Amino acid sequence: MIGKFEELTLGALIKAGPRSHAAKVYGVFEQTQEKVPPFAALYTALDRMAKKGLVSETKDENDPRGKRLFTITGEGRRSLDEAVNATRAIEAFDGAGVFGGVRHA
Amino acid sequence: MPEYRRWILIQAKHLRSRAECEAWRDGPLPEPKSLTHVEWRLALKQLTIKADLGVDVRIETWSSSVCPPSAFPLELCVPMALTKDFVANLTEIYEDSWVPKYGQKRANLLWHRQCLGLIARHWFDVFVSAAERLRKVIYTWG
Repeated sequence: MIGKFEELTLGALIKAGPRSHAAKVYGVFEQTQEKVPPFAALYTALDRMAKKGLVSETKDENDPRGKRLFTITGEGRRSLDEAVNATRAIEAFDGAGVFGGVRHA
Repeated sequence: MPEYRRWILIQAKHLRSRAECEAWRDGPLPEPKSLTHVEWRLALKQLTIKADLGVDVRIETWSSSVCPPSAFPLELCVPMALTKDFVANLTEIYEDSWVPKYGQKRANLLWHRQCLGLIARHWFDVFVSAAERLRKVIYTWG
């Protein structure tokens, strides 16, 4: 099971598209999130997920600095589905009481 | 904006050919590159004269004075393979997002914070993975 931040990172990576560099994924966070996570946290999360095999990486041949390009793998997609389903299952309670949701009788 | 840092691209749009442009400038056309203060002053003088003669010359200048701070401390503390890519990405964010949004001073602060953050997170990951391996060894022996 992946953590919430890894779930968000994988989601942003899917939105950024295949073969995206870390700055592009960060751009997705900037466009979609009110509170943007630190870039260092995002970068280490991508690096960690690359080691775990949730994300594959290649070098950008057109870039002189050889940026790392990330793409979500099948395993990453499965882990993301699992995490999203788990979140949805918990959301069946509407966050009652704790987050100001409506408690159904 | 300090003049010696200006980048100059001279566009002589209404001059017919490159040869004509070169004849006009008494030498080869400059490539878009950094000019010294003296070169800039000379180019400006020539252009002013030509503009007075009715030649339509457009000059575009832009500043390269916004450059990110040094990443040397980061290079000392984190493996080079990781640092190189991190700095390339951070530079892109610094130039495209932080400087226009927050200004250079705060962007510099953010740059240093991210560098420190990477150092801390990298070594934290190293220690956690080492501790996990050690735990496995101890449980295997025990």
